[in-house]
Amino acid sequence: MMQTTSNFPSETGSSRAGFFDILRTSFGRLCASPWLVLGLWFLSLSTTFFALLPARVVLRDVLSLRPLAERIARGRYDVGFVEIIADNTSAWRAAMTVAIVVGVAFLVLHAMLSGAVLSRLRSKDAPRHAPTGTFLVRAAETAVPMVKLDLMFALLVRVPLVLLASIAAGFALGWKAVTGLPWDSVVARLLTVAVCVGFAWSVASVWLNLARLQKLDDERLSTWKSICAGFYALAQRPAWLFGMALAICSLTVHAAMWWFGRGITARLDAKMLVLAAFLVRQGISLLRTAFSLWMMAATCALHERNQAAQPQ
Amino acid sequence: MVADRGYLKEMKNKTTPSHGVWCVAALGLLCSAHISRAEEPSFLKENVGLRVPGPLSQRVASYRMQVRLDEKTHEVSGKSTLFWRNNERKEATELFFNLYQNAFKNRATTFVREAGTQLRGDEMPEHGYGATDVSSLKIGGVEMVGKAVVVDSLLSLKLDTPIPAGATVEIEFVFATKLPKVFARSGYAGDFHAVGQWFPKIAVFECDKDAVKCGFRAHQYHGHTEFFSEHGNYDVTVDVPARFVVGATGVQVGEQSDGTRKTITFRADDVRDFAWFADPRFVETKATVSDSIGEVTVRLLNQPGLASQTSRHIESVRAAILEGEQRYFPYPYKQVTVIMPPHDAGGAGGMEYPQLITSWLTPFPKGMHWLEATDAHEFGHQWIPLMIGSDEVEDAWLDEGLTQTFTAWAVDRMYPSGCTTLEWGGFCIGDRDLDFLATRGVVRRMPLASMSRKLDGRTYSSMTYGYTSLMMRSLENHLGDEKMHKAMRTFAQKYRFQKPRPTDFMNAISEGAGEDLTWFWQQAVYSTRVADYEVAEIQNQKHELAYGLWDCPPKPAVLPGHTTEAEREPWLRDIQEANQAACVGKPAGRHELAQPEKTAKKTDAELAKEYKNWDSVVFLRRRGEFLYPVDVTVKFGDGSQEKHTWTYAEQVAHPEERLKILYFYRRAPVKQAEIDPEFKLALDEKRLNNGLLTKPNLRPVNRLALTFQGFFQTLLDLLTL
Repeated sequence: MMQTTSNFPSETGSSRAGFFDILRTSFGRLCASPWLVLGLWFLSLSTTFFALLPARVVLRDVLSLRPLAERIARGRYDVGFVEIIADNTSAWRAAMTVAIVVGVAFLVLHAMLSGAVLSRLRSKDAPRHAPTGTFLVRAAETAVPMVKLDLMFALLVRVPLVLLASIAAGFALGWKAVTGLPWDSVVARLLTVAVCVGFAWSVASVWLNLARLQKLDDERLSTWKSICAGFYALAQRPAWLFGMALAICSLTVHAAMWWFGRGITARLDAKMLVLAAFLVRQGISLLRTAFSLWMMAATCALHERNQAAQPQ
Repeated sequence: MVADRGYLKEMKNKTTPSHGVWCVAALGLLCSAHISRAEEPSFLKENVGLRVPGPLSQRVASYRMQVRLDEKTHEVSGKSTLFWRNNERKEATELFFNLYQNAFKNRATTFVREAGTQLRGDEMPEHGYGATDVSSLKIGGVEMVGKAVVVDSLLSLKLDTPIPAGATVEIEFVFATKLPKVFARSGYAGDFHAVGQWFPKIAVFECDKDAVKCGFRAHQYHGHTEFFSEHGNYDVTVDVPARFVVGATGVQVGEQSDGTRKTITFRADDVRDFAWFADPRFVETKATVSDSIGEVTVRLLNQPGLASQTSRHIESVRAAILEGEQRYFPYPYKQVTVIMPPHDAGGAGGMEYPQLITSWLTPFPKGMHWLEATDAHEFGHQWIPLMIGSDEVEDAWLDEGLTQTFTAWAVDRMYPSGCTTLEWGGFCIGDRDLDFLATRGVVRRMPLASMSRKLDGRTYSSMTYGYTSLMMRSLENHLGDEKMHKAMRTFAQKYRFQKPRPTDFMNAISEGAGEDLTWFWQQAVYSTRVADYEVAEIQNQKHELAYGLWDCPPKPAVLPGHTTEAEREPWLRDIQEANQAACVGKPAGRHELAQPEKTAKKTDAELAKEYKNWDSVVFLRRRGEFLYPVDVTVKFGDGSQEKHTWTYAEQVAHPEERLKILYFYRRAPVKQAEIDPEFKLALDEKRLNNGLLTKPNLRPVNRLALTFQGFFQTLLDLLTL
């Protein structure tokens, strides 16, 4: 098992060396917790599977005895989707409602587990580290404060970010009807906005994790103060540099995974290689989960670095 | 021959004048003598802007206009001289003119009340009303404006002196049209001016077959209908600010400028309307398209910054020109102008005028073919109704529906893959798929033959466009490509520059196809029958007739006299086959053929070998009322298949019998049955039920379910980052 104790360079060391050191250290912690990766990935898989079970039942009822289903599934008769939905509206509404409810429950569950995840990914020497076997206990202990933190953060940061994104898109298009612009121009402008918003979202994720860590370290901190403390931690140099670098990494890797995954699975779907497409999707999901956890572990390392750098 | 349903305005027969009005009659005689001697101007005898020898039409209504555009008040004013010939066999005792812009005068007009202050999603702007005012109307030099009655968008004038049959009159207007803010085809938006339906336009005067009922087909401008007028020549001079670029019907034949303003003269021969567009921002591009008789100039007036779409417009028009030549006849004019309205004048887009079309602004990539489909559709209108002059008001489906059909042909030429509307992001959707979606489940359905203005907006749109296109596709699939080509060309050749009604169209198609299509038209045009065929059920039964006691050798079976021939054959065949099978290798006498021991579960193939035969029944059901000959394909477990047809004759013989039952007695069970597997009946409202499997195939279900699951999982993963 890789050494998980971190050794940070001194304040006078190069930021780049510090950044790579953080990545290396956090990768080691990730590798030390393979069950964490597998567990979260499996949670995602099983939740979505059950969320879409009603939809699968509808599809089975409607399509399993129809020869046209093969053409629809191969992408040769896309209009069939409209016929399926239009002729089974109530069933689809029920299925989608279940999916949305389960999805929201998943997000809440994820928030509840975030405290335990971060505790697990911290240095073994850290006071709030969660050793193997105490994960669920830690999750139960930290569930409520983590959910409160996530909700407030969503209201204060995520939702305004979405609104700002809309405004930014409007400015990018010059507030004129999009029909007045050629496609290339629309794509270029909106892509720029999307990249900026994606970057801001990723930075916000680093901030959220720092806020969570502040709360984990000091339970007496209120939710609001935790968020402020997280922001303050991120704003310290070179923390904000590291934070932005993590955000860029996160954005780039996730976008690349989405892009390549989509390309490969589209080809497999068209050839009706159902199992292969499923395995590729789950492989990418596993990688995505692992990478997200790596970023969380790196944020933990960043937090510890900040604390180490503070005067006693 | 299908019964006609024309809607002519009845003319009251004039009674013989009494003695006391002879002096008035004498005066009238002088006037009528003056009217009948109005000479045709020289521009009516010329052929400008044509690629084929003219005249192409009878040039019943020709206009010479000199007008001025005031870009600040958005008013077009000037003088129009109409040379109108009474082309019918009876005199005309009154005249009707369309003043279409009056439809936007206020919110009480027929148009606004029916369309509901919007058209195609564009809202009527506040303070953007429009109107046409006629300040002078002279016939043969005699001022008649005081007698003119204007109601909404129609101007009527009772004549003291009728216009005799065959006579030509010169009618002069001084008029001013205040353009509305554009939302319904014409108007202005900033400096952009879409000047369409802008001058007093005479309605169509015609008599029935026996010249008993004669009158003008004159309608208000309705919410869901368009226009109808006579063919003629146009000589139009427009006075605009010098910085404006102008695109118009026809070809430019002159231009003069004093630096501040300029006058441009356009000529258009054998057309039934004249429209022009002016905008200082237009960016002009010219291209040529070659067809079998020469070259057509395509003049594109685009908006700035949209040069990337130029080639798409040109290619669409090219495909439409070539398709139209094949389906109808070569485009006979030298030029076509394509106008791109700005984004705040979208209501002017997607419209057709003679030798001019307006396109849509679309920011979409090449894989989304709405731009191409729009251009092909609007150009398709050059034939119907602009040259094959159907009545857009009363017979909208002949106009929009046939052009929607043409659009499908033109985009099929451009995109042989079949993804004619959308081929992007992994999706493939054809334009007929969109017609299918637009039409299926239209609750407020009316027969296609209903007068268009009676229809509400959604029904009008679904029926005249989508339904007609699917109807024509169903017909094409029934006739085959070659016959359909011949049928359309027959119609086009017969009615070019005429005014066909639906019966003319239907009869011409039947004539060109060489078969009586009454059965089809009666259902598709005159009824609201819905089409829906399905495979209702499949039954497979192991054939166990062979077990039991049999007498060998087999004796011929004697059947009761009351059984019919149809009932005898399969039953006799079964009995005799079973008897023969049971007697194989057996001496004379009675023998028992016993069932084999029941063993563990076997596959269909093993069972088929063991039991030797299967009795299978396929139930086909006609859920809708529409009768159409449909193919049936039945596939069996051993890979073989059989094709059958449920003919029209079978269905119409007993229309109350909605089931057709197919019996099979084969070595393998039926695996799958499909009715109309190629969707030849494009009108069929449900396609999923056209096929049935005997065993569930979960592969497509798994594929779709897992794709949705993967997408949802990605979404949740990204939200938890």
